[in-house]
Amino acid sequence: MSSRTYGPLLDALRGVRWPARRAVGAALPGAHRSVQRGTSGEFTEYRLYRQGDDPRQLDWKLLARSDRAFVRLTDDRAVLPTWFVVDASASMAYPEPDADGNASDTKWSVACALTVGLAAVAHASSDPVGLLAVSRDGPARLSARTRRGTVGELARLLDQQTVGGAAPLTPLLTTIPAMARVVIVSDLLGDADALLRAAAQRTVAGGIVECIHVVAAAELELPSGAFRARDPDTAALERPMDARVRSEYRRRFDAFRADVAQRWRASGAGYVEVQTDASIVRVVRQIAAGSSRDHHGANSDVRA
Amino acid sequence: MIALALPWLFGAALAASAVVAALHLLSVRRPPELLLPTARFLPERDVRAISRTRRPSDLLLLALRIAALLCAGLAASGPTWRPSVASRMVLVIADADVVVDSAAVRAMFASPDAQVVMRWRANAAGNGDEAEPFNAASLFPIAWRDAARVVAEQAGVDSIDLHLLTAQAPDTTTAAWRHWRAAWPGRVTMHTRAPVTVADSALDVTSASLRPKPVIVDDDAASRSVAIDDPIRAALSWHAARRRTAGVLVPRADTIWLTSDSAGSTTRRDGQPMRTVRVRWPLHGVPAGWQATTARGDSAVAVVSSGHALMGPWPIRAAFARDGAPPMDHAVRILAWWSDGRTASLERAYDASCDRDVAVPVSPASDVLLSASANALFDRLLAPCVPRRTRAGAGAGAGAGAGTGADAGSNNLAAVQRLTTVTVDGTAMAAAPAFSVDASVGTRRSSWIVPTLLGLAVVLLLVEGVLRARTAQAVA
Repeated sequence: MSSRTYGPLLDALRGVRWPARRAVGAALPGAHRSVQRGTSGEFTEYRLYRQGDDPRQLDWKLLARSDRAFVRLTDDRAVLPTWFVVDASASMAYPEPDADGNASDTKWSVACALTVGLAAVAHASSDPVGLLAVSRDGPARLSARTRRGTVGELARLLDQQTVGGAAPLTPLLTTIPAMARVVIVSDLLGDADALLRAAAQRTVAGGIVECIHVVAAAELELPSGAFRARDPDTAALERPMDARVRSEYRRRFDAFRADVAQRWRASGAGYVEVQTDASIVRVVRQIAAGSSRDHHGANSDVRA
Repeated sequence: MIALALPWLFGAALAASAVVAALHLLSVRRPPELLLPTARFLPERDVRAISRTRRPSDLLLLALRIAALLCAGLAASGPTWRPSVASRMVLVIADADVVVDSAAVRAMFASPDAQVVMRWRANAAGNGDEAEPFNAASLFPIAWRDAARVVAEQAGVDSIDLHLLTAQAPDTTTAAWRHWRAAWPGRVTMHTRAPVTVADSALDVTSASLRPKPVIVDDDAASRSVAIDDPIRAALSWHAARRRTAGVLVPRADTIWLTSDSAGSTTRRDGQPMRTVRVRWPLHGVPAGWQATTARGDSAVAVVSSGHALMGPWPIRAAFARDGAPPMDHAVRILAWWSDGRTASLERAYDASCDRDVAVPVSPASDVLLSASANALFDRLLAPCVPRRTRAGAGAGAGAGAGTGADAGSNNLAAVQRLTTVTVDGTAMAAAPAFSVDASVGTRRSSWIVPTLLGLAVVLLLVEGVLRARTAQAVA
C-alpha cells in the first residue's frame, strides 16, 4: 500500500479525535487534558486561597459576595507526542502471494495503514507524531513533529521499509520520551515478553502505551493441504502442517492470543487485536473511541 | 516347464511384490514449504509426509526390487524343471522275470498326454535250485515309492495308471495282495505271461553249470585287520559250512579264500577257471560302485531276501549309484532289498564269475548274521554263479518262446504284445494327490534352479543398492 492509496483512508478519518487515555503531563498547550491546573478559560472548581497562591487567581466577585477568598482552578490542555513503533520483521510479510499471484493484505500493509491513519488522527489534534520502525535494513526513525506534511513523511518512510529480519522492538522504546504516547504495531511474534516488560515500565512511569496486535486472517484459518511450515523469523523452525494438526494449532494459537491480551491489559497498556481482513477506517475509529472509553476500562478486539 | 513344490510361497512372493509396488507409489516425501510466522504453534512432528503418486518414479529400482523378490520366492517354492507337460503318468512295474524290452513297453503305453515310467523288480526266484513262490504284492511297494517320487518331483501329474507286468498270474487271495490292493487308490492292470525259468531254456544250461562252485570271500582289506572281530567273515564261514558248498577258509594275506580244495585254487584240473563268486561286503564304508548316503538317520526296518526278513533296525549307509536303482539288465539282479524297497544287495554276473555286493552295515559285536533269519540272505550270497551268457540266453529264449539269445531283442516287442492283460478292481486311475508326501520328510534332490534363482536375486539386490545410492546422491 503506497502513500497514494492512503487518501481515502485519511478522508474517512477527517474529524476523528484521539484523546489521551488519561491526563497528560506538563507540555505545550494542546488538546489533551493535562494533569496541571492552569489559567485556561475552562473553569473546573474553586479552592480556598492558601498562602502562596497567585492573588491574580482570586475570584474577587465571590470574595465580595461571600467574604471568603477562593481561587479559580482550571485544567490545562497539553499536547501529547505520539510515537509509533512499527514491527517490520519478516513475519509481518505474511501472507505471501499464492501460486496464482493473488495477494491479500499482509500484516505489514495493515500495520502501515493503521499507523498512517492513527498518525493522521493524532496529527489533527496538533500532537507531534513520530515513527520508529525496524526492518531488514535496520531501524528507521522519524522524530515527533507537528508541522504539515509529517503524516506524508511518515507514510513515505513506511513505504521505504523492506520487511525482513527479526530485530527486536524493545530497544526502540528506550529512545522515546517517557511521557509520550507509544503505539506499538506488531504481530507480537518477536520479543513479545521483553516488549511487554518495557511497556509495563513505561505505564508505571506515567506513560501511555497502546498495543495493536496484528493477526493475519490466514494465520487463523490455515491453507488446505500438507505443507512444511517454516517460521520466517526463525529459519530453523520447521513443523509439518496438515489436516491432522489444524485443531491443535488453532487451540495453541488461540491460547497465545488470549494470554497476550490478558497480559498487556494487566500491564496497564491498551491492547487491540486487529485482523488483516478488518476495515482500517473502522479499526482506527474504534481505537480512537476505545481510548476515550478506556477511561472506564473498556477495550476489545477489532474484527471486520 | 517349471513345477513348484510349494506354490503358496511363490504366491506370497507375488503378494509381497504387489505390496512393494504399492509402497513405491506411497512414497515418503517432504511436502512443499510454506512460510508461516505462527509455525511455532504447530505440534512438533516429523516434517516428512507420506504422499501418493499416480505415476511411479524410479521404475528401474521398482523393477529390480520386484524381480529380486520374485526370484527369491520362486527359489523358496521348490522349483523343479520338467521338460514336458504330462498330466497322466503310466507307471509300469515289471517283474525281472518278464524279459521284455523297456523301449517296447514304453511304446506300448505311450500317449501324448501320458508320461511312461518303467521300473523293474528283481528276480524273486532263485537260480533254479531255490525257486520261491512269486508274490505279486511285492510290486506294490515299488509302485507306491515311484508314484510318490514322481508326484513329488512333477507337480503336473494329476493321475497315475498302474500296470504290473509279471511272469506269473498273481495270487490275489493272499493277505498281502489284499492289503496293498486296498491301499492303492486306483486301477491296477495286470499283464501276465508264462513264467520264465532257467530250466525252460533251450540254451546250454546244464546241471553242471549250476552246481555249487567255489566261493571267494573277498574282504575289504583296508578295513579288516583283525579277522577274529569280523562278524561278516564269521557269518560267511559259518553259512558256507552249513550249506556245504564251499571248501575251507584259507587265509591269504588280508583276504580269505573259500575254495573247494585245501590248496585254495580257483583253477580246475583242466586248466579252465572255475566260476567263482566274489562277495564284497565291507564292514565299514560302502562297496565299490555304491554311493554313501548323506542323509543322517536313514534306516530301514528289515532286509528282505527271498521272502525272509532280517529284522533291524538297520542304518542305511549306502545306496546304489545312479538314483538308487540298478540298471536292470540280465547281468544284474537284486539279491536283497531294504524294507522300503531300496536295494541292499545286488549281483553282477560276468562270463566266468559273479560279484555280489552287500551294503548292509553290521555291528562288530552283532550275531544277527548267525541267526536263522539270515539264512535266506546267505543262501543267495553263497549260491553258485550263473554266468551272464547263460542267464541272458535263458530269458531271451523264454521270452521268444524259442530261439537264441541273438534274436531275443528283436522279439521283445512281440513278447510284449502277447501279454495277457486283466484289470484288477477299479476303473479309475489313481489321483496324484493320494501319493503326496510331506515335503519336510526325506531328502530332496538338489536342483540347479534354486541356486541360480537365489544368485540372481542377490545380484539384483546388489544392483538395486548401487542404483539407490546413486539416486540418493543425485537427489542430494
